[in-house]
Amino acid sequence: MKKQFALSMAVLMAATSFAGCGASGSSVAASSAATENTTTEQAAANPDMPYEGVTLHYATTDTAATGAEMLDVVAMVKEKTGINIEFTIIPNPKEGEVDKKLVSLQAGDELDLVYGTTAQLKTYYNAGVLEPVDQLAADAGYDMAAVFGENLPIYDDGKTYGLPAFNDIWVTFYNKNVFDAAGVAYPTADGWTWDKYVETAKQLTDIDNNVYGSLMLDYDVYNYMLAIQKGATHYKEDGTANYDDPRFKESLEFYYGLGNTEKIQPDSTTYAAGVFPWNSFVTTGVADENGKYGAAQFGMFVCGGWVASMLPNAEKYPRDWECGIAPMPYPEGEEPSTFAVTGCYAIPTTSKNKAAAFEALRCIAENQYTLGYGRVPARKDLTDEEVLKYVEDTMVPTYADTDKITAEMLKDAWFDSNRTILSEKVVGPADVTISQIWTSEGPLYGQGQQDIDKTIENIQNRSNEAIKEESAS
Amino acid sequence: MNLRKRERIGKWVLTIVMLVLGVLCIYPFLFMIASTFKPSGDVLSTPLQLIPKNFTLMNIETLFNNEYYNFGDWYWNTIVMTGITLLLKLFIITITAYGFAKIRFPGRDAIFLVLLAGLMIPGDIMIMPRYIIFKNLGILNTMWSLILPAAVDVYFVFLLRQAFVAIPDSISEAARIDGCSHFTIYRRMILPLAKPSITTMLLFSFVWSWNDYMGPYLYISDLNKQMLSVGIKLFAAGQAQDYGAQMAGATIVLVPVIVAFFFCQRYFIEGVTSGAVKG
Amino acid sequence: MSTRIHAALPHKKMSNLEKKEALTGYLFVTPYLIAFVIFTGIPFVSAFLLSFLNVKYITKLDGLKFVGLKNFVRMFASEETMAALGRTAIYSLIYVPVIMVLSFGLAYLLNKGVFFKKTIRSMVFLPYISNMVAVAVVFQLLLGPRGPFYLLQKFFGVEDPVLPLLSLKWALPTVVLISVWKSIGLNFLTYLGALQGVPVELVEAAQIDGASKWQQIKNVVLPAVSPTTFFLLISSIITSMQNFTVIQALTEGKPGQSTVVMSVNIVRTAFTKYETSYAAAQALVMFAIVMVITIIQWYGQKKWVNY
Repeated sequence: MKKQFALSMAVLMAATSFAGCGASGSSVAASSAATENTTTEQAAANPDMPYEGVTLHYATTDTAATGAEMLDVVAMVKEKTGINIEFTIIPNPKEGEVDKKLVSLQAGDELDLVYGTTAQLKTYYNAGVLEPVDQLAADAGYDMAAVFGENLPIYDDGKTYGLPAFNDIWVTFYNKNVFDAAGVAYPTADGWTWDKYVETAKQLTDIDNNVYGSLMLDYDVYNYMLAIQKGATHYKEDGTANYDDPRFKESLEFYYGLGNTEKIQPDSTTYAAGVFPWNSFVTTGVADENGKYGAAQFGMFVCGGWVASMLPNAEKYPRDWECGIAPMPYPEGEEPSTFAVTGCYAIPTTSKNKAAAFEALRCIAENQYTLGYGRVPARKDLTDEEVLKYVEDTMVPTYADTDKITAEMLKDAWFDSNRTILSEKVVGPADVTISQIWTSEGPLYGQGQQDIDKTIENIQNRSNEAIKEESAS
Repeated sequence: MNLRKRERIGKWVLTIVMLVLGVLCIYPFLFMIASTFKPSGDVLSTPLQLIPKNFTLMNIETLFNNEYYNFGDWYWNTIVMTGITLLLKLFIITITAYGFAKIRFPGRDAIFLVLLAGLMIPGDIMIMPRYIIFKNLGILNTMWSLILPAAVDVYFVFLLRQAFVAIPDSISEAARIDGCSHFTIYRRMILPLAKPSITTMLLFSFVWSWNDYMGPYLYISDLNKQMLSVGIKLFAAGQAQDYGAQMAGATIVLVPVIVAFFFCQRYFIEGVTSGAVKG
Repeated sequence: MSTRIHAALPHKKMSNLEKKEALTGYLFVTPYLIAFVIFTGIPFVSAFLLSFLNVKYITKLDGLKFVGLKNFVRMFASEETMAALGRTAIYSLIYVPVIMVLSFGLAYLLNKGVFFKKTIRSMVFLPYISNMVAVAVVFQLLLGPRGPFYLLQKFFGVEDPVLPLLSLKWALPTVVLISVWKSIGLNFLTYLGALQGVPVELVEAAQIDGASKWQQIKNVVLPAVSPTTFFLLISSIITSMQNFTVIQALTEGKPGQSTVVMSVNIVRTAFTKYETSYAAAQALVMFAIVMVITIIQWYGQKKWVNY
């Protein structure tokens, strides 16, 4: 018994000494932070790079932080401004989970840069954790409006809360192999309507051989896509939900019909059951000696431009076919349109070095697209020649090895100034909740568990309820 | 003879029924472990194979040869965190339970009832306040933000108090009269007598700390300080629907718990079954 | 669970010895109490205070106002929240009886004498130690369109086979059953221990009196294990309301809203809608509900619990 006690005491002592270690560890960190500060002050001597040597903390997910693009961004910022960027890894929340980045900002954790789409950053703005950059821009003598125009994230109070780095524009990706096998011509930008899309997909579909003409995921936007392209808006003029507009009903019927009645893509049930992952389009693998693929093949994939970033990654997504890019389909009889979200960087109020953060922000927003990851710049000040040069010199080489995507395709898909660009996300009162309502009610119709009128009624009423709740509190 | 034979048959029938139920209970694990050794494409092949047709170690390799995900670190962090939690609980929970069970002081029962109410608080609501408290204590993003709240777990103060109360007062009172201090009685008499209950606490605490997801997700930021449960979730998210790799991740989280279970099952089952929770 | 509440200490002056005793007592429990106050007490009290204010984002406290019971009124007026409360009730009403009956049944049969007793015991307990987040994927596969459940239905000629986790009707019961699977181990082992403590003579006496199996269980075994039943009942009710992790891992509240129970609703209110005060009010109501149920049981136990 004595021995046992001695043992447990020893263990306890070990535990306390561990605590001691922890404490001394943190004091080391503190002193190194102090040295960092002194270097900052010393470095301010260099007039070209006033913030050289400053270290900024950028909150991001592990996937982004370990991706080549982000590492290049960091290197670029270092080279152009002398500022060091360190990552603070914060996982992305799944739907309905706690957004840890926001929890941490609300609790006052020091961060200098965050990334988000215009819609995501609005929640941060609502929480009051973002720093308006207007004054910082004025101090730096920088005319943001001239560079970024309407892409700037400006919220209710008329202030600007960050700088946009790129636009993610929706397009049609297509698998040339599937087209060739079916003897169908590749899609072209001219008159690429939904009718044509469905017709083409039907010709491509060969379910017995595990080939689908089309692929779509389960995002909110697919549900209301057609309605918005036909000019419907999410809110009525009085601020209530507009989902009793017949175009939304039509939109739901259209989208789920593609899987359920047209059978050109996996139906909603199959998709929800996880049979086909979100990256199915590129995970077909390589054909075996009989020309068969291990996974299902998809002729066309309508999705955001970010999908393009998976294409050059031959190591992670080995494939033996080439991918083409065509614009987003649009409804017959309407003007061509597409969807987009704008990716922005912003400065949290907790930053202790806002001037330096703005310098880095500006550097990233202006230049991230030049790094060669197929980004569509959010800048409005580029001349046609500059855009052309970018497409030919930077974008085309990006896909040269894997897909030989041409400058023509890229220009039609991403740089067509005649195409109307619509917001992929709901933007307005209770937008986050409304988006959740779409993704929870829509599939019920799509999976045959709720009829269309009931679904629209639920979406309309629940959205109105959410709008009312938000304005009441 | 006939009766005994019938009894034997009855016993066998019952055994088979119970075995079937048992297999139903562990079927998901069998599937999970089997899938760890299947090529990803085979995981969902029909009929589901419980013995991999194309045996492969590929998934385990993906797991440990991944430059982005440091399973080694996560393992180690989780082991250290769980270990310290257990040691701390071993001391603080038992001594507190002793205080509430064997020493008389004013307000004792009232305080104890307040603690009990703590069992019923929905945890989600404390996320934000806790975050701020951890930050002020400077333990955010360290494993102490997981260890300290776990160490004040009410459930086992309650359970051990019940177990200690069940030990007759006559034993400790005799020792008191002999001039033994409470601390001596606690460590010389009560602790050894309550060993099964304490083992129970340790095993359950181990399982809870090891599997805790919300805590590390919220309070640990650095990837290299992260715990296994969040780690495999991050890993799974990166693997999209590479089910083989996901199953491998799930399996390596589970293995240490199973090992721990088989090592202390004798003690701990004694603990649960000998009245640790009966009170 | 005999929480023997000692008679209140007499309010006379304490003797020196008593004083010393009390001091030792405080010494023993104070470290724990300090930690308890920091990590549970303060967070709870702040949640309590929040529920009477109008806080949305805790970073924006400029318009801070005491709103009295407005958050509570709003909660009971909200159809969605009441529906979530209803689902929590359904969840508990399935979970508690199923886990109580099943765990007792399994323990009783195992105790009757079977071969491989230890193996079976471990098998039933194993799910308890698993990590729900990791196991969720397994269930999604097993209950999916390529899983055995689907194929079994097809095999038996079901025309429209059900995918339980995707079905509006079946998702909630399925989630409940999976969490029963996950938690049954603890109840099962506890019952097993209690059953071993039932005196054999009592059962034999009943047998000699010609009592049927069912009568034996009802008149002898059940009363003998009633303190265990009481403890498990309370702890199962509490578990049945703290189910966020299970649901988030399995269905995320879908399909539709069919698995949005109160715990999910609270997290969403707090961290998707950022209505901190409103969420605190909802959590407080849940706390009160559990508390009331426990107190009722506590006073009701005299009727059926034998110590």
